[in-house]
Amino acid sequence: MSGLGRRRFLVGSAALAGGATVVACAAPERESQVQSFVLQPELSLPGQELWFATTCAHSSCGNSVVVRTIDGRAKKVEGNPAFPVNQGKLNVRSQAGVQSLYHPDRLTVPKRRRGLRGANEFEDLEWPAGLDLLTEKMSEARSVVVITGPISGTRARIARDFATAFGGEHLVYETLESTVWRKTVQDGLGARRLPYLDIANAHSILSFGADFLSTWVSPTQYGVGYGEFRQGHGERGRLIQVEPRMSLTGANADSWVYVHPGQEGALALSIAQVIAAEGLAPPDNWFNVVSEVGGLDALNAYAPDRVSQRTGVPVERIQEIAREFASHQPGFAIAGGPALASTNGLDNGLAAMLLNHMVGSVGQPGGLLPNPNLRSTVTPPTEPTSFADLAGRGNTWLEDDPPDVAIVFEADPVYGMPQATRFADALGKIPFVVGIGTIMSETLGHSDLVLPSTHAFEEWGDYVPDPAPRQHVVGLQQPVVRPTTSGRSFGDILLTLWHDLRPNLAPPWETMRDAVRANAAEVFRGGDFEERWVDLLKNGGGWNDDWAPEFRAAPDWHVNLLAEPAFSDNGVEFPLHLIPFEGVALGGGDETANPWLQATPDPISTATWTTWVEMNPSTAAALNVSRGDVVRIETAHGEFEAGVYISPAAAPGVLGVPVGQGHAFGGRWREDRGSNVLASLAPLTVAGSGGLAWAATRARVRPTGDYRQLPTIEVLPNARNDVEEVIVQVTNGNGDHHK
Amino acid sequence: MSSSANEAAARASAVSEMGRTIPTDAEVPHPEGVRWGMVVDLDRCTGCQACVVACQAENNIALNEEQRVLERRAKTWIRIERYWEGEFPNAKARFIPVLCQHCGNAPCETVCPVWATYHNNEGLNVQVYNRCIGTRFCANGCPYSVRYFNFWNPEWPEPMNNQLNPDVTVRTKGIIEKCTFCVQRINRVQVTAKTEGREIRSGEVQPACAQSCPTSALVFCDINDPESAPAQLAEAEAGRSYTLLEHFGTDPGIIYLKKVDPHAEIHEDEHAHAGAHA
Repeated sequence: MSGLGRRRFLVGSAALAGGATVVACAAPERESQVQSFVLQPELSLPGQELWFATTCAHSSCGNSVVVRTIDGRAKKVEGNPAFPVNQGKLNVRSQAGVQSLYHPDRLTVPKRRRGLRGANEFEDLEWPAGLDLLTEKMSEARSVVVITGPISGTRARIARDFATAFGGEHLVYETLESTVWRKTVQDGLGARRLPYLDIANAHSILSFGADFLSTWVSPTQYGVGYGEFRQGHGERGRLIQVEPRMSLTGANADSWVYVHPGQEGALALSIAQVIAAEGLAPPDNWFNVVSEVGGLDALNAYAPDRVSQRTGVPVERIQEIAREFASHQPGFAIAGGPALASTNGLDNGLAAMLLNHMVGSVGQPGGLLPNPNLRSTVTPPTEPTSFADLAGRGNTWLEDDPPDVAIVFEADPVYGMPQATRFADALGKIPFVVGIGTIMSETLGHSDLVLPSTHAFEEWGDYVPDPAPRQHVVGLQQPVVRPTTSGRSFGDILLTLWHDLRPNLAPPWETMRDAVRANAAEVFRGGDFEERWVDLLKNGGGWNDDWAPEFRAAPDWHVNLLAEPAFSDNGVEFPLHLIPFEGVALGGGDETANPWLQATPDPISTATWTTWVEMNPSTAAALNVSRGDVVRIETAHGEFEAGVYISPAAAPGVLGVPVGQGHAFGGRWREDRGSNVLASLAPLTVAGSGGLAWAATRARVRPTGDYRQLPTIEVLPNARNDVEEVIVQVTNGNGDHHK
Repeated sequence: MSSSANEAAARASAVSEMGRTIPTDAEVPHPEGVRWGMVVDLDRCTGCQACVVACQAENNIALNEEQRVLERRAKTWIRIERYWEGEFPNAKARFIPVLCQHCGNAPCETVCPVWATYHNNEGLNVQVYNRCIGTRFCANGCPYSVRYFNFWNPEWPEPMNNQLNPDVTVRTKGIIEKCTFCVQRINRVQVTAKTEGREIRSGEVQPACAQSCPTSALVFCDINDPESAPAQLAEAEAGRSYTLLEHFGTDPGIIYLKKVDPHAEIHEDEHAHAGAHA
């Protein structure tokens, strides 16, 4: 049986490579061969550039790109101007894709574990031997769990149905998950898909912690809108950001407002109370909505003078925010980041959503607009598994009811799950773990068999962006270069196993290319599909204007239900709030092996390559530490070290620590660098959604006595003789200017 | 050109080095009046760093490993500077992309003993790598700190060298490098336009930084073309436009549009930074 599987697999691989040759290009090895100038290989003129549209399907951004290739090598990634999500623009991570493609530490051949799990002792295998081993384990398995990163489209469908066919389930792991925002949208708007934020046409945005210009949900899409929001129409849009730690979005806000961790909902209700009490929005907008969630009496309990101390925001400031937001409509309120990562995060989100109903921005231009429902289920969007569900599975496995085989692809829960969940131990209970990826990770390091996968630029696939840009969109992914390693596509590996071991349950397609093509035919029907297929590949996917349902909010929520946030342990022993954050380059840590991203300065601290802790000058003074001093940050669930970065924007008592470093696996640029803040978080969940309350951990700080220069690109004050020059000139928009 | 820039130009034209008169921007012929430049709208810029990585990918910039950053020898042809203003809870961060300003009166050009850096007839401040002997006079003379010296030969461990752009020279140890406005892209468009027998279209040339910028804060243009959209933007937003370190009289080819902060308290002598930057 396994031999048959291998043969079928090789046929599939040949089809993959053949497809690549037709739509992509030739291999670099050809340069060492004598080529006839008369009979040139198709689409491969030496020195001529070729551009191919594809999708960054492996990263959560899902941007569509065009890749410049020369002589069979990918050279540069640009945004796909035709694609309606990113509209020709790109963020940092998408551009770095070409560097992960040619990363010198990529996995090149299958590996079998020799030592203990996690000991990083492996021996190389040939693919047939690796497939034989996997087939043998799978054929004996009663149940299989498939754990992936936030994949979507055909790849997600195959993973889901494959797991079902083998008596298991598909779990989708996101590092700092979007579960709570999805639940907020579901409960607050009655929508199954994330809404389109009409940033370009908004006159004001009130954001409770959503770092939408950096990493939150769909930052490239939002960035395109933000440019127009600021300078694209008559009235310059105003941005108010409310959060306990200044994010990149907060740094760009017209008003940045500090709020005590977990009190964003109380502040939102206080703003709502001011809007109602001062008549800042037409009562027709809000009277029924407010009545449904408790009425004015309930709202009055959040009058500014009653919540000022609780939130840390002065009364006048709350009133100013309410007036500014309500008087610059259309506009909308959103919640994300730490606001949704408190134990009362869902309440905070719903309180913010109430503001949208009050100012009438739900379903209106410049507000939150509905996205079309899916046309069919053949290409589903990402459906992340909540932290509570994932941790629950881990507990089940620890209690001696693990599946027989786990297949892990582009997900690193061993790194990202708090160590208090003992997820690594839980994975260790599974008799056979196979990890599939392009580069080693903590989870792959805990696997019994490691299979190298193709890079996103070497394989077929598709991606369903969520949120969509008010259209039904599927981004297509095609190989733009031939695989540079022996890696196989995740989808092809599953399809091979499926046909080999459960042929009666297997889908009709034998390769990912066939699957993607068949699904595209189903989603984009009509006309001659052969022509359509070529157009889809050339354009990087397909999109159609489609009917979108109205929002139908049925709030099952009451103002009085707004809970006080809970934090890990007591505030005496652990007096500081630990706020992890995703940086614009490293995100959740999955791209940390990439040296461009490691070297990209964090916009706030300008730090690179390490883990630092943002600290208010008064907090640092109380601890008697200075910039560059190495401190040990302790929680009740773990500890780690970081270099002190003294930030004038940091709130006293709040520690901001970037996510992403602290890996033991992953090559020369990732291993043994910085610390993993996620491991020390308390395993608290957000009530009502199951998300990880990653902003609910208290901590204390101990100086270690060590000093390590911080690798920042900023220079200390007075280090340059032109320090007194005005570099960034500012105007208040009233004709007054700096200088 | 501002009056201070005119004065600087007049002074520069009188400078003689090695027996040669150094031409100023005003004296350099610009066929068809092309002067490549850029409009940078600070009110759109978010500091997201997309331009930084785009530039590194396009221009074969050496990997800035941690040690290079610590030594302050990291190379970033375009960088986002961040300045602090005020203290918590009223602290504000200000971002500005800083790249070679392609000055009309470039201090770097007059100090190069071998003419490795010169001003071309399209307004570009050009660095000729195989002329450079590494005196670093130009880097010292540049008030914007946008010239970078190669202290080492760059290394890209195989197969990472596959990503190198064949249109861009890999610089070796001992020479200066800097932003070229992606001259290879300009050349490509010029060749294409010539082949097709037409003029270059407005917006047809895009350096990597401007192409990637999600908020369109960076817009590349011929700033001598009054019909170009960016030039019109700069004209329409004349109240917000300024050039960096204007009083040096360098006549930059980059026009910045001021950040708008409706809550800013504007004082004549106020500066936009409490902390400093590179």
